[in-house]
Amino acid sequence: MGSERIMAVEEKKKVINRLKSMYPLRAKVNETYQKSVEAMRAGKPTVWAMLNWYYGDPILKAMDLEVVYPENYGAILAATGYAQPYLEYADADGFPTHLCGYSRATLGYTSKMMRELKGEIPSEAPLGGMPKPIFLMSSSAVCDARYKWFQALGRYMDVPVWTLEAPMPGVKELFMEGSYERMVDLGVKHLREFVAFVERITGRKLDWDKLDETVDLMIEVNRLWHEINELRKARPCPMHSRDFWSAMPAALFLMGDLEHSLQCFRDMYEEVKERVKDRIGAIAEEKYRLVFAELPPWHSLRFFDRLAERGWNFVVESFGYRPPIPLDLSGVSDPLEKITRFSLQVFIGYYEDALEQNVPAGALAYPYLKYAREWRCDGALLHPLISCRSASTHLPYVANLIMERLKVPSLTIEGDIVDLRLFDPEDAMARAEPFEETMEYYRRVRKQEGFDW
Amino acid sequence: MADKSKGLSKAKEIYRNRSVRAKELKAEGKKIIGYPCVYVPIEMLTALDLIPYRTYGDIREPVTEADRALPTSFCSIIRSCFDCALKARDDFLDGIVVAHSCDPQEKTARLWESYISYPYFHFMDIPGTVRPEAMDYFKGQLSDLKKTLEAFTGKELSSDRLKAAIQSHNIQRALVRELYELTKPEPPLISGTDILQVIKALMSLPVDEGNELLTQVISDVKDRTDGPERKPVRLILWSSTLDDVEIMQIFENGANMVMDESCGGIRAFRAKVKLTDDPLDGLAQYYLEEITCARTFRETVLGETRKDYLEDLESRFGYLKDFAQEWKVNGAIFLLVRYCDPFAFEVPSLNDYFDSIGIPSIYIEYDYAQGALAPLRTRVEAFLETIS
Amino acid sequence: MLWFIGIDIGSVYSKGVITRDNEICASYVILSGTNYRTTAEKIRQELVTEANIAVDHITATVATGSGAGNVYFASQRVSDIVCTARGINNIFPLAKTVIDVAGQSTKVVRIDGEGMVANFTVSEKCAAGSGQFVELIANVLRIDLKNFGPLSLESENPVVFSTGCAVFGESEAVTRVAEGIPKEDIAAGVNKALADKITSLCKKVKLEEPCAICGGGALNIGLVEAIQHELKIQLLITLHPQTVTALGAAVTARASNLNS
Repeated sequence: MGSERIMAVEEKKKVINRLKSMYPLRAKVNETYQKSVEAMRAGKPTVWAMLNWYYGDPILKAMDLEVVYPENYGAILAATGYAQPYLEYADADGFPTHLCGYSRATLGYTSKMMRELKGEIPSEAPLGGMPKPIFLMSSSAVCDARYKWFQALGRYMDVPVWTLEAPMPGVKELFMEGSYERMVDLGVKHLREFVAFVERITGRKLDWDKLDETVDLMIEVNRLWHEINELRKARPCPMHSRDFWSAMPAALFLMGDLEHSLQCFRDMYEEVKERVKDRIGAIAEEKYRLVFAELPPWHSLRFFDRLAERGWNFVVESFGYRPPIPLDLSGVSDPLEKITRFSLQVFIGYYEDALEQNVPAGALAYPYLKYAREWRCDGALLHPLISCRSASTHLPYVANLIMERLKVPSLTIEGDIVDLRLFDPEDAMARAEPFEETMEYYRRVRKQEGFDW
Repeated sequence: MADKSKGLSKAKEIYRNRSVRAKELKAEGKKIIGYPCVYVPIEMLTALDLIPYRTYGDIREPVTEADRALPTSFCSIIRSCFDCALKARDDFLDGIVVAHSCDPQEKTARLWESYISYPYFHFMDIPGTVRPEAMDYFKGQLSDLKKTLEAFTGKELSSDRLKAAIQSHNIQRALVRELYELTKPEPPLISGTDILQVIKALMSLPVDEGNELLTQVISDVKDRTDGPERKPVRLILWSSTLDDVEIMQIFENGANMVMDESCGGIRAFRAKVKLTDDPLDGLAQYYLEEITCARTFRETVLGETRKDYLEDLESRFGYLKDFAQEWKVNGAIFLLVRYCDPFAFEVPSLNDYFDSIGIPSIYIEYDYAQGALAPLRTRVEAFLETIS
Repeated sequence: MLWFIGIDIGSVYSKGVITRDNEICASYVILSGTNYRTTAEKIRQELVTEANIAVDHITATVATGSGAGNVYFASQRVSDIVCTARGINNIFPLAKTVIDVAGQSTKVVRIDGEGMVANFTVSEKCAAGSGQFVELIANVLRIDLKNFGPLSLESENPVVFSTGCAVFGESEAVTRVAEGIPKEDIAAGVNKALADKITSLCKKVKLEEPCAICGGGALNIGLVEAIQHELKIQLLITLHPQTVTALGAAVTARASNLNS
């Protein structure tokens, strides 16, 4: 009798039907941190890196370097409530307060570590903190702050910075003769220089066979991951955004052992396929299918459980975190070229469609038109973050685009990456109710206009 | 009694009514191409007999239309610029070239292309570093721009034409530098407020007319006896851009602004385009390396494995020291709009650098709106007091 | 006879409406104060007194607004956006849009033929988009809020507020006062600035006529005029715009009751 009650309570708690295969992938995030902490303590050289969308990571991985991502650490600081003191250090050092919250937290952290503690990791830093790195690998992709921030760290540490080039052409400009080839050329040459730089600074030699292996695994892992997400087009959707966000780091940041990741994603593919076959959804009753943009409120993911109780299934999300649309790299032998084409594909993979559909914002915005249509969404939940302009600027454009072209409405709920007070779940829930009426209204409108969902 | 239509008076007239000449030229059958940022290689426009016309925002115009496409936490200068575009302020433009200088430019480019239909639109990508492979890529971007311009005009952008245009624009750069020589004396022979108007006027005229105007201005300024008053403080300004006299006047109430290192001042004119066999090489090198905008990642030695903070500061900001010393500056203003990221990250380092060369400095943030200038005033007054 | 109560606990004001057989019987507005529970009770007491009934004659109560959780005697809590739509639909059944200018934010809601929400948008977390901006400036000008509207209508030369920020706007107003600019011009300028922001919201949600206006801000006749001028339409307005959302809550109470 007692155990039945416990089970009933547990069942009630799990409003979202999480994939079993998600857990080992999610566990990799913590495992990777633990391993990093051990490596740091053993004095292994660490690199601080920005999210670089598969461009520099495979090289670091093949050279067996410990990598720490201050962007992710910023999220941890925010979620554990440790960001504020570091923000204050950054303020005191004269960094304007509108700057990206993650950057300020890292700058403040580094200021404390290097100036006050002479290089010792602050004792209060959660999850072992971040040790002084041997070099900083930044990327100009998507956001200026990401490479200027690493440059600004030079104030506290005489640590070299390498800024990975990330071309971002216009949609029609990409299709000019020779334009794509020149992007690939830039990418390959640049990576060659980067490899030389890493070899010089670490004293290690890159094992090119190992790089080949790493790259091929990376591509296969992400191909599978792409296929898994395609399966989510089914109705009801078998996998919720929460599972996407939990499993994503393994694929995007090449965490842990890639062979193991490959197996995990194979398991996930099978599990999702089964669910599709048996028509099992990620929530009990899928009343509404939602697309989410852009960065999730990491600290308040339970919010989605509350929405799930109302029948909101989140079926597709976060362009910036998704694997690239697969492309045929079988004719490419140079791993640096494979890496370049794969990385470029993240952004320009949608350009051909975007050109055809006449949407100039081929990256960051057009993809949502595709998602809303192909995953048959009733609404979009847009989450602008006040100190992250790169993850917020495209949102009004997305709202207009999917309304005009698909008659899909959007709900905007504000927040921030470090100031968590800005996200008000109660206020957000108060907007959920009228938005349900809105989604139903636009279902009727779409029906009238001949859409098939 | 000087002819009022020449020189400084004419420049001020143009400043007040920027689009007059462009509209006249349009009526004569010329095509006008807009550009929001000095990274756009306007020599290529001139070479095809297109009139380059810099687009600006307006601190007096409340932003209303841009709201439907851009959030409020966004560079207020570009926001205003886009708002004005949506309000068809410059509806005589036949096209626009937007460059990937900073995020706001890149992100607004998509909106420009989506919400306003120009007969000609081109987005030019710019790499983040000045490495050799980046330079190659950038040269490719210039050649793509050349192709679409040729398609638009139906003319060939020949090497000769381009070289001639580069010469004309280099002359303009030299003339602006000559103009700034006139702020070296104490007191300076021309105020920052006047120079701001001259430069904004230049960016509204075809290059040859601009050169004529400049020559006249320089001559006027040299000849006159009623120049600016001597103030106790000589300032250098470091900013993304400054385009309104009302803002400049806040500084010149109590100081002489003798050097303006912004895109409303010397930045677009500081260096010159090298004359190379293939003119695109010279243009690529100039625009990627010589525009001192914070958006470009520079290091003391390419791919340095040994870094030294002070060396880094010297290699990145040394040119500011040269300005400060040659122009005998005793105060520096770092002026940015809220939400400007590339420049904002530099502020503490710039502070360190100016400390090291013994010049007091202050960082001031403003909102690109006439109504928001009051706090600017109080901070500037306080700063000037501490120096004098 | 069936009696229903709707209570709207806002951050500044709390409102209540009691209906008898779908007719408004009485309404009440009071400052929310710091104890929302007591405020809710007071509202209920006032309403039943006006209606000449006892508390247990009330069939059902619906609560709305940011403080709705404190209305312990409510049988339902409904979103204020939904209530505003229902309230306006009850008064102006043909209205397709409503602008609700409240203390902390402004909402624009599109309503379909059945009084359901077709689409909506809420102003950003910013004082310049809500009644707060007007309050700030009324303070600066040292005039009563209720005189703000009529005063602004006397202006022939409104100040142009170029900034979109209430903090800067406040200092801009102070500067203008110091320059000797007449109060009516400043007041008119504020109303225009707020109207501009509201107009943006209306465009976002693709306003359709007939359009109504409600909320405390609708009492500011200068603001109403400014919005009408910007949108080039006539707005529908009731005699008691502040209580429209509370009415909508009462309407919802009735609808839920009829359904069950």
